[in-house]
Amino acid sequence: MATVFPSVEWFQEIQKRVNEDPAFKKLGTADAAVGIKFSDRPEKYLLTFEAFEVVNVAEAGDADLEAADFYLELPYDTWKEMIANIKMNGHADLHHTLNTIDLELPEGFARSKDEYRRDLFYRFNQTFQDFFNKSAELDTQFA
Amino acid sequence: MSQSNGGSADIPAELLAKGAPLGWTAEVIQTVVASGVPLEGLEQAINAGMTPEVAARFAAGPPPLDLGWMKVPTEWGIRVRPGKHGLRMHELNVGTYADIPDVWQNQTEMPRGAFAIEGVTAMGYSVYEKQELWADNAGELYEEAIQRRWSPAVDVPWASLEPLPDDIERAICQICTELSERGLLVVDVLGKWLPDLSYGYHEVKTLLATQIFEGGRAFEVFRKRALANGGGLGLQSPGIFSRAIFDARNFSEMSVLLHILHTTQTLVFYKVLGRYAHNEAESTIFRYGLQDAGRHLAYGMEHLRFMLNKRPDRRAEMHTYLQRGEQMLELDWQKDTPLREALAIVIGGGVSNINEGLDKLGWLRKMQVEHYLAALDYGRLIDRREKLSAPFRQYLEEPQAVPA
Repeated sequence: MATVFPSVEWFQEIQKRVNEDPAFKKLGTADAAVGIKFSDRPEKYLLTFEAFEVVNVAEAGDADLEAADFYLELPYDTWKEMIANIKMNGHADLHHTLNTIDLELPEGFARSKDEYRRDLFYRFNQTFQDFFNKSAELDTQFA
Repeated sequence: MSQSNGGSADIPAELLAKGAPLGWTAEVIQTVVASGVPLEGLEQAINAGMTPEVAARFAAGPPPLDLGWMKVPTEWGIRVRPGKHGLRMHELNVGTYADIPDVWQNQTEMPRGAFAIEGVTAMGYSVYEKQELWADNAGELYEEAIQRRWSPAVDVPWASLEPLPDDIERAICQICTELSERGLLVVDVLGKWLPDLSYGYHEVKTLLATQIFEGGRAFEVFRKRALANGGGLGLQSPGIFSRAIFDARNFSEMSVLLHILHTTQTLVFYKVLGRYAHNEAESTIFRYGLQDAGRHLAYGMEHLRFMLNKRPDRRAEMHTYLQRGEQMLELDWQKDTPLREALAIVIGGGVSNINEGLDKLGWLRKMQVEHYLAALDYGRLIDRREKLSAPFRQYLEEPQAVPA
């Protein structure tokens, strides 16, 4: 059954899968509040990583994203391209990793006013990459 | 024939005769036998060369128990429970064990919270002030480093390596040679400092031990990449900036140079090289490398914040170290033609596109300086924009080139 992106349900499907995956736990603990944002759409989400799992996924407002450690912001089409690429390859190819996308945007993909909190994007990079790579298991319907 | 000795065991005359020349008096033999040692066993001991003094100590039995140590006046009854992350080191800082003094007075290896005894020799530490090394996140970062460890041998998909054009392989191998050298620098610098750090701040000591391990791992993984795909090692680096870090005379000077200036440069190299990875192996190496570098930077930022909050008078001193560090780093960069050309080949996509790659080195350097400034600006403690050395300031004026 297809899950719509973007939606809380889409992120929850990934949350469920990574929390059940021993390989995700093996990456080690990760603690970060990560916002999800579109530069051309109003939807916003907050993902909460704690210890060995993703403990919460929720819709968010501007204040939530301001309070997050950092947020990932892209135009909708670029989000769509990244997720479609992950689906096609089973994981992000070399041109669609979080790190690559971060470099290709003048403002970066991971954004925060606080460099210490933005540093979490690097410290837990493999965890975040594996989280999005897990979307390869979903049948995503783009809204 | 036996000799009777007033109600004691009968001792064979042969045994007495055998023991006498070796110092075994009848009295000692009687005492040992009376303690329960069979005659055959005693004879074997004499034959084996056991001295009567040793035998007498055995016969006397164990010394009386002391057990005074059980009344040690440390806080007792502590029961720290594991949480979602497991039982983490910094979570043990409860009650009196949470007392982390501004100055650690003990000169020995005594763990913080233990009770000192007299007569233990000093270890020759030189760093006893908390402001000189502390960071509030040290325990957390130590646990993170342990939890998020990775193994180049099995966690890198080496099978994804495929033959690359000769110019690209040579460039990658030159870069890997220098990155492996940077790993050894971390090992050497922190290995030199660890014996200087007193035991009062074990969170920092153990964290730095993980960073030494990670420096070794960086050396390992880049050497492996250089030697795993038909290439080999390249030229060593000029090492001018490395020497500046190694020669730091106080810990905070070393930290601001290594954990902030050096690490922001390394982190951006990892980001850019991850972007231009040719296979999953390289992409994985640089992603894991980012995680390690991110932790090193997190310690550097938090230590600088803590130190300047305690000692705001040291701000100008830090500017002086950074000024010198920037100059050494720039000198390194200018002299390191192999690294610049190798990076340009990787970024440009081959020797034939090296000019395009060279143009983009300004973009890379701009990013390195911006990361460096942002890290220093954490907590708004050091603003170097106005004091930045001239070449660094020039990099900031580079156009914001976005790679194709």
